[in-house]
Amino acid sequence: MTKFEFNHDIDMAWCPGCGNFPLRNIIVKALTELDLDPSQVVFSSGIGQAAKMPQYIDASYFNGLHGRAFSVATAISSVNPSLTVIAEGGDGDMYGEGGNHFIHNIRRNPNLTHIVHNNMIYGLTKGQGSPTSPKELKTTVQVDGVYNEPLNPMALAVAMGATFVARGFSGDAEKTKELIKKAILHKGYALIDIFHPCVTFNKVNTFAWYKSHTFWLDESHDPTNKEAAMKLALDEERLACGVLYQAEAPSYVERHPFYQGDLTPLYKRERDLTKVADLLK
Amino acid sequence: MHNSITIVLSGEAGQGLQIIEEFLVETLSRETYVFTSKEVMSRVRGGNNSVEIRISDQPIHALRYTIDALFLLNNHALDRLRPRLQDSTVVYGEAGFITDEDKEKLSYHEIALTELAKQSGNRLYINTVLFGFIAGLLDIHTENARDLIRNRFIKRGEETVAGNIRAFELGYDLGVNDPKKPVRSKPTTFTPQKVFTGNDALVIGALAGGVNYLAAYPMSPGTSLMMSLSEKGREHGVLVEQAEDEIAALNMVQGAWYAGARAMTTTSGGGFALMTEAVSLAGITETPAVIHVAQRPGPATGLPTRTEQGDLNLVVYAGHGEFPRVVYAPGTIEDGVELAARAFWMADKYQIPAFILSDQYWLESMIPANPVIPQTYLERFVVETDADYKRYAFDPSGLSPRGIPGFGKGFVKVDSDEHDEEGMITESFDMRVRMHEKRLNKFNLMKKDEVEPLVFGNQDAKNLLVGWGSTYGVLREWVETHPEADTSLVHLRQVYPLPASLEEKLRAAKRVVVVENNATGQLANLMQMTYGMKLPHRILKYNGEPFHIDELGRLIAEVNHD
Repeated sequence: MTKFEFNHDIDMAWCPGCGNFPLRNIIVKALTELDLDPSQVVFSSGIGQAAKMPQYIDASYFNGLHGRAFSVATAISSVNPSLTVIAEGGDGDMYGEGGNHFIHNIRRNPNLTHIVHNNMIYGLTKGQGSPTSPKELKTTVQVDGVYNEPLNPMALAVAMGATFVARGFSGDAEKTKELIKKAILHKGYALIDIFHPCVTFNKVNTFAWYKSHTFWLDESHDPTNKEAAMKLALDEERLACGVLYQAEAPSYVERHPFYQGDLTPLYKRERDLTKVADLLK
Repeated sequence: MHNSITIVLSGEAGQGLQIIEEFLVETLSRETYVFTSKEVMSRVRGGNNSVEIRISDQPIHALRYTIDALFLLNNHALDRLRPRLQDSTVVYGEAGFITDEDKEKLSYHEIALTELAKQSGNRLYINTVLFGFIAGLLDIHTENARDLIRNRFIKRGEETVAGNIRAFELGYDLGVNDPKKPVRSKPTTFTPQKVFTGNDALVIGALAGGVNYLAAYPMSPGTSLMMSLSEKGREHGVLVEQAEDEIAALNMVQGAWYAGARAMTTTSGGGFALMTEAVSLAGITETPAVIHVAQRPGPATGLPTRTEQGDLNLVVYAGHGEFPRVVYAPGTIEDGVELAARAFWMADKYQIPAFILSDQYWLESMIPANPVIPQTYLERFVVETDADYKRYAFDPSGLSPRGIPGFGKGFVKVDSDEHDEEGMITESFDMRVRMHEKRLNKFNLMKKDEVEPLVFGNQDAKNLLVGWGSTYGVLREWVETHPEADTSLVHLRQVYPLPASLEEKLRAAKRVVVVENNATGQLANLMQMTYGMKLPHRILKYNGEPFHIDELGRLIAEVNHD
């Protein structure tokens, strides 16, 4: 059995045919191929079917509150820079409930990988519209069809200056796996929005729909070209997969005045009480 | 009430009241007992703010409502303070600062501060002239004052230092010869103490408790702690992050503890309301948290710059579900240091949220004190994990040893869902009961680490005053100066869980009066509920001000008359 592979006999909570199954295999493979030490890998997840992913991978995890996984992940990577940190959840979790953290953590450029399962629908709460649901999609709440504009995470991330903006599709396992590896190796914040079908609640954005609406970027796209990246991000007819944008910038621990180049984790640092006592003078 | 002189400086935001306050407190505290606080409007410039300085030949711990000497810094500084004037109050200010009508009614002394400032070289030295004037009025040792001025202005060059010293001297000469000079009796024995604000105490305490990470969103009056730890953080090693909102702040604090930091957040009631889901998260994940809630009057935005003890219920009950927590409420500088440090130790030891519940009045009062640096709260509870580590193991100690990711060979699996020993989501009813009981049993384990109430006065007294947090000073001074009232004080520093020794004290007293800076008697209600006893005698104040020593006597007489 490979590292990160789960050795428990467990009744997984996903529906048969869920895109989360292949995605789990993709993530385990990516981590294994990068030869990471599982004890140094931490997942931070919130609530939703996607956020259950860490349950089925052998690594540390903090499965916290709906929408807050990115905040927890940012703190983990800020206090122990030697960990490999992955924040993972669905479109509702990360872009809806966690929307404010999505925006502001991009500004921090924390050294972590942000995997968002984007199936354009709420699963665990049973089929309501999500921030990325396309207009006119009929849901259990938007019964006559979605009437609000969908959120475009790629365009938002590029506009916010995210240093790694990518899109994958769980139906393209090999390419998505390579994308995840690149994201983990990227210094700073890496967003991978991963399309995948919700077989139970989204009957429009199906496996076949994603297959026919997506294409993979080839070498003709220069990911350092922000304008080109934005153009791709804004194209909602032909959905580009691959690295749309990548930039080199100091990560959070490199720019925060606390570290000054010494990346010793906080738990290894000592407080000097004699220096604290100087405050009494 | 001890004999004392109360002087109040009244001006507007941006006029430099704080500098005069610092100068006066620094110099006065070297030769006499002093207590000072301020009250400000919620604005950056303008309005009307005041600083109150009370001095005495005896140790004092509270403010007085009536004013002996009032200094007006502009022509709209009088009105709000009018109710606090008495016949003997002397009002000082420049010509034109009060109306002719008021001039008739009040004992008003014109002092030409602007003119003296100009004489000393620059009209900007006006605050130093006033400092000098008050120093003269109170016969303060001038050498201390000169040192202070030098230290303060040396960065701006010798010329500024010399000008300010001239300004001080011109003011001093005028003050020392003032015909209405108050008579100040000096202490017979006096050991100078350093002056601290409540906020200073929390900074020192948090550092002594090992704080190395703070995430917070600004909200008065909780923000000062964030600013101070940012500044001190550079020297002592505190990573400070300004979060995008309070929800992020406490979730970041959770992430930081999970990964091995000693982390805290600071906020006020409204911000804390946003954190409550993460308090519950700390409860089930058994991730420690230290949360400073600096109270101000609510509901909602309320009175942003004023004081109240209105959030005890909020803090005690915050978060859905049932789980243990501890709530400390410092009432002295010494306790501020001690309890802030202890909060980190308790949070770490019992894997619980630990609260420091303060308020605007205590945080911003300047009080002479002798705090000590606690030496034991850096004790670590984090374990190095083995390959078969289980985060939520049922351990004979009652506490599951807490590992952190990356330290050891194991995985640290933490879950906000109900979980099994390993940290995996479970829906087993049996496991739920065992985990829930393990968490709630920490209430029992924590009993051996209770913080006893402060008790003051004759233990056999018939009457008992009960208070918590910032009211300590005023209650203590009242008990101390009213031996004939046959009253002692029990003052809670740990307000939740209520310490076991409290019930007996309450039952032993013939009459219990609970004093709180809120409208409903939140502590009294908590004690009633916990002990099944009635506590109808309450003194409650909720206009946004703290209790004044001279009003407390009247309120106690009233409640005793019930």
